[in-house]
Amino acid sequence: MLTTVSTERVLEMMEDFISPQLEGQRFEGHSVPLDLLKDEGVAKFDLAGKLSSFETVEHITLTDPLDIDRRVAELSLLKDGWLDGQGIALDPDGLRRAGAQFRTCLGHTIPPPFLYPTLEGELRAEWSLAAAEVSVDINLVSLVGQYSALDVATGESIEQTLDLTQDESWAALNQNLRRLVPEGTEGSRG
Amino acid sequence: MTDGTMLLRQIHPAFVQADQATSQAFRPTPKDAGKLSVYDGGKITAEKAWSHYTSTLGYQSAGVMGLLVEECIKANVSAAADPAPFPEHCVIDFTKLATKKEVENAAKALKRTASARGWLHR
Repeated sequence: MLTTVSTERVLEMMEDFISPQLEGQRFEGHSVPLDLLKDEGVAKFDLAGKLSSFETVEHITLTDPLDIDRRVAELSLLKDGWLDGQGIALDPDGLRRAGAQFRTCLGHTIPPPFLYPTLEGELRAEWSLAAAEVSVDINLVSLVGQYSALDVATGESIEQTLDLTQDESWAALNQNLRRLVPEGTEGSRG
Repeated sequence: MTDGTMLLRQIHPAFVQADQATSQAFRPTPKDAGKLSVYDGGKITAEKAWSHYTSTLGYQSAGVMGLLVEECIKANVSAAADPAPFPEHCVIDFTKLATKKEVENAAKALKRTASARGWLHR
């Protein structure tokens, strides 16, 4: 329940977060579900399209911009030809399986990955860490991933094939990433 | 074009999450035949390049990132003018890289450099 923060203060905090994501959409004078919030909420927009009030609020939990479920949902909407005519759509079931694996198997001290589609219809996870650019290209049928890490200072790179249905592969990925995450900057995923 | 010329790269919306572009945006796709299309920042601003790309050419772009020619050379790729499609068109040439791994590493190095500079237009 929203008990300690005034509506005005919440609106102030939310405005910068919500408005850019709704830019171009027209909600003037209407109430719309707040799918940018986890759980339940209904927001009201004034005639200028500006967020004016909440009609109902059960919980306020800002969605992490790297939230895996949200990103998986976004990527599942891509159709064939998504890259200006190129690009294969990502398999929604495979995406959900891959997302679930990341949620449950990625070490809790490791920052969440940036997730992108590939032209070939695979899922690409990327981390930009202190001295390394890391990627894993994941086949959404087999969940086999191609790990690649570049040390940007030395130009040296490491590649590895990981079967992300197997615990040993997740242990190897977590170990690789832990070595690359600078001390004191570990993620804090719940 | 000099080593100090800024090359402007359009970034597709699907290649951006939380303002961060994927390194895939900095490598050619199969239809590019090893040459990544960019605009010559000495001839056109990032904003006008974005307008040309999205309005005139009709493609999607979430924004523009930039790389100096000398930064491309440091990443083992070269840059050249290619005005056939339109006067400001240039390419970053990956064709001298022999393996997929070399292309991948060059793209990652370019992405790291462009990301450190930030968006030139959004």
